[in-house]
Amino acid sequence: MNPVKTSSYLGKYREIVLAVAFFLVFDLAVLGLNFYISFQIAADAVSINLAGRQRMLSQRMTKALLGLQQASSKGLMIDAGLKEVDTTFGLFDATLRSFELGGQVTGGDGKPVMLERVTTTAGHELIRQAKALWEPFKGLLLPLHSGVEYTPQQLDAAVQYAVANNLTLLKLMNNLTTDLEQTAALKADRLRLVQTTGIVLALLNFMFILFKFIRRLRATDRKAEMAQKETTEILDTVKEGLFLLDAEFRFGSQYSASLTSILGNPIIPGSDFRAMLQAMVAPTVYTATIDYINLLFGDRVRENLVQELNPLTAVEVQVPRPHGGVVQRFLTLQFNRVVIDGRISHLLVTVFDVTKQVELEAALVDAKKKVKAEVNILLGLLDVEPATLNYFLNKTEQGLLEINEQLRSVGNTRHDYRQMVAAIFRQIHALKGDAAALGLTMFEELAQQFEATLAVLRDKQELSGDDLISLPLPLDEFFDRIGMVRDLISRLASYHDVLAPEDNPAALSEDLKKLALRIARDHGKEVEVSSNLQLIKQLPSPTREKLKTIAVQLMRNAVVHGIEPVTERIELAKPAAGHISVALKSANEDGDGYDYEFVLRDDGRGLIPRRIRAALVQTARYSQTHLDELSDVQVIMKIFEPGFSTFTKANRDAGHGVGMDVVKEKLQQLGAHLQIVTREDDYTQFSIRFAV
Amino acid sequence: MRLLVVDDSNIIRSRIARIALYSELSHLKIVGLARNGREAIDICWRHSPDLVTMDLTMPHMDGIDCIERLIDLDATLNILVISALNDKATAIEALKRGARGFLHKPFTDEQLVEALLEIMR
Repeated sequence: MNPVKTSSYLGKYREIVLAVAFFLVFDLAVLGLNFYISFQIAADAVSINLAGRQRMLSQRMTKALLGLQQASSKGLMIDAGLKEVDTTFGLFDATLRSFELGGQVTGGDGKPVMLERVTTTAGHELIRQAKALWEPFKGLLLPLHSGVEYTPQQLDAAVQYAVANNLTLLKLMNNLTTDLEQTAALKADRLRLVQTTGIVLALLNFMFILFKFIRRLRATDRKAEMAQKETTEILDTVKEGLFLLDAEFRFGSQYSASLTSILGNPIIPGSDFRAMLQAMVAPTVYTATIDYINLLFGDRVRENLVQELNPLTAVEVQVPRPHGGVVQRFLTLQFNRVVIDGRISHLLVTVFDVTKQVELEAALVDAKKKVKAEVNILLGLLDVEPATLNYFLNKTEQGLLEINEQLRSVGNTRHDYRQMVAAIFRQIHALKGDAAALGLTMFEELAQQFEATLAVLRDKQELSGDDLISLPLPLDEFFDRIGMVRDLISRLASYHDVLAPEDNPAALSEDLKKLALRIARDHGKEVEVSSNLQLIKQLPSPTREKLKTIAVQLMRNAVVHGIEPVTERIELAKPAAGHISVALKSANEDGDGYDYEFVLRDDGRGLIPRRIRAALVQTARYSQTHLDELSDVQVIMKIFEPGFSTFTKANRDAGHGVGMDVVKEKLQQLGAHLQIVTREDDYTQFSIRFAV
Repeated sequence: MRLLVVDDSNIIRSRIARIALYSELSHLKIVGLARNGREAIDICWRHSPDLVTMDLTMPHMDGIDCIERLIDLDATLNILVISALNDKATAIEALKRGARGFLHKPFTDEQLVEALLEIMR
C-alpha cells in the first residue's frame, strides 16, 4: 500500500488553506490600517482642540489687555492682568508656531502634547494670515511680558491693536478649527470606508471558505457513501468469507455475507476469533495457527515466504448446522497483511470452503488406486490358464444373458419376482464361486456386490416390479468387465492360441487349493488341501462343469463353516492347519448304477444339528416346536434350503444362504446321490455319486 | 551480501551454491557451506554472513537451535528455512526463533532465487 504523502495532503486542501491564509493576512492589513488612521484621528483631535484653544486665547488676551488698561488707569494692582497676558501670549504664540512647523506644546491639561503641522492648503493660508496679524501684535505685547517695564502708551497701542484685530484673529482661528475638523472628518470617512470594505471582503472570503468546505465535504461524503455501498455490495456478493482480524484476534466490524454460512457461526464484531477457532480445529492446529498469526503481525517474517506454512489450509473442521448437529467441512483460511502507513494494522482473512476440492482430490486418489488395482487384477489374469479363463468368460457371459432374459420375461406376480430373484442369486453365487476358484478377484467382487443387491430384494417383505430396476446395472457392469478382459486377451500375444476348454485336473486342483487358501487367509484360519481329480478328464463337459461348481461351493463351505480357527483347533488338540481332501473316484464296482463318486472331506467341527436348529429359528421360517419334531438328519438337510446360513452377517464367502442351494440344484441336474457323514468336532464328508 | 548455506546433504548444499553462483543472485558471495548447526555457528563467527539458507533436520545441532544461536549473534541476519519437513508446527517454531521465510523441498531453481530475493528485499 502506498504511504500517504504530506504534499498530496496539502494539495487536497490547498484552496481552503490559501483562503484562510488570505483571510488572516487581509484582517491583519485592515487592523494595521485602522491603527494608523485612528492614530491620525487622535492627532487631529489634538489639533482641533488646540485650534479651538487659539480662538479662546485670542479673546482672553484681548480681555486681559483691556482689564490691564482699566486697572492701570485706576491705579489698581496689575500683576494678575500681566500674568494672564503673559500666559495667553506664550500659549498662543507657541501653538501658532507648532501649527505652522509641528512640535511640542502644552496641552489643555497642562501636559506637553505633540502637535502635527497643518498640511492642508487652506490651513497654510489661514496660518499665514494669522501670522501676518500676530507678528505685529506680538511686537506690541513684548514690553508687557512679565518682568519687563512698559509704558501706558505701549499698553494703549497693544489694546488698540487687539481691539482692532481680535475678531479677525478669532475668525482665522475659527476657520483653522473648521479646516482641521474637515480634515479629521475626511480621515474618519476613509476609516469607515476601509472598515466597511474590509468587513465586506472578509465576509466574501468567509463565504468562499464556507462554500469550498461544504462542497469538499459533500464530495467526500459522496465518495465515502459510494465506497461504503461498493464495499457492502462486494461483501454481500463475494462467495468467500472475508473479515478483518486485529492483533488482539478480534473480528472487524465488516465481513462478507457468506462468512456466517461457511463458518456456521454468527459473527459478532469485536468478538474473539480464537474462541471460534478453538471449537473448530484440533488443539495442535489451533496452537500452530495462533503462532502463525502472531508471526504475520510481527515485521520479521516475509508474508510471501510463509504462506505454505498456514496451518489452516484445507483443514477439517466441524461446522455447526443451523438446526443442530455438526457437518464436516474442509476450509482454508488465508491470511494477508493490511499495511497502513507502513504499519500492519490488520490481517485480511479469506475463508474458502474447499470441501469439494478435497473430496475431488480424494476421489482422484481413490480412482488412481482403483485403476492400479484393476491393472493388477488384469495382470493377475495372466496367472490363469488361458483356456480356463476363456471358458469362464464364455460360461459367465452365457449365465448373464440367461439372467437378462429372465428379467425381460418375468411374470408380474410377487411370487414370480421372488422366484426369479432366488434363481439369479443361485447363478451369481455359482459364478462367484467359479471366479474365486480361478483367483479372478475382479469378477468375484462384482458378484459379491451383485449378491448384496439381490439380498436386499430377497429380504423385502413386499417385492414389486419397480424393485427389479436396480438389477440391470450390475449386469451391465459384468458385461463391461467381460468385454474389457476379452479385449485384453486379444491384445496379448500369449492368448492368441486360446482354444476350446480342455480338461485339466491339475488346474482344477490348483484352483480349488488357491480358493481354500484365500478364504482361510481372509477368515484367519489355516488349511491344507490334498486332491485327486485325475478322473475329471473322463467326464463329459456339462457334467464336469456341474461337478466343478459343486466342488467350489463345498470347498468354500468346508473352509468357512467346517475348519475351526487355529486357537480353537489347538484347544481341541487338532493340528493348527485344517485338512481338506477332495477326490474323484470310479464307483462302478458298487453296482448301484453310479459311475463316479466325488468326495470332499474336512477335519473341522462337523455339521452340528443344534447350531443348525438355532440358525433356522433365527430365520423365523420354523418354529422351535416344528424343529423339535425333526430328526438330526432332517435338520442337517435344511442346509440346502435357499437363504439358509449359520452366519448372521454376510461377507464375501458366506452368509448369503445360497451356496448349498446351488449344490442342491446341480445335484438335481446330475441326478446324483448325496451322502453326508459327520461327527461333531471331528469331520464332515460329502460323497456324491453320479452317472454319466 | 554474504551467503552461508547450511544443510547436511551434499547434493542440496552444492545445488544451492550452484544456483547462487549462476543466477541473478551472482552478486552473492558464498562464505561457507556448513553440514550442521555447529559448523554454521563457526562460519558465522568468522565471516559474518548477511543471508543464511537453513535446513532443519541435521546432526549435532538441528536447525531450530542453530537459528536461535545465530540470531543471538546477529539479530539482523536473514535466514531462509529450506526443509522437506511436513510438520508445519516445527517450521513455524523456526520462524518464531527468527527465520524470515520458508521454502519447501523439493524446490526449483526459480523458487529458490525468488525466495532469496524476497528475503533480501
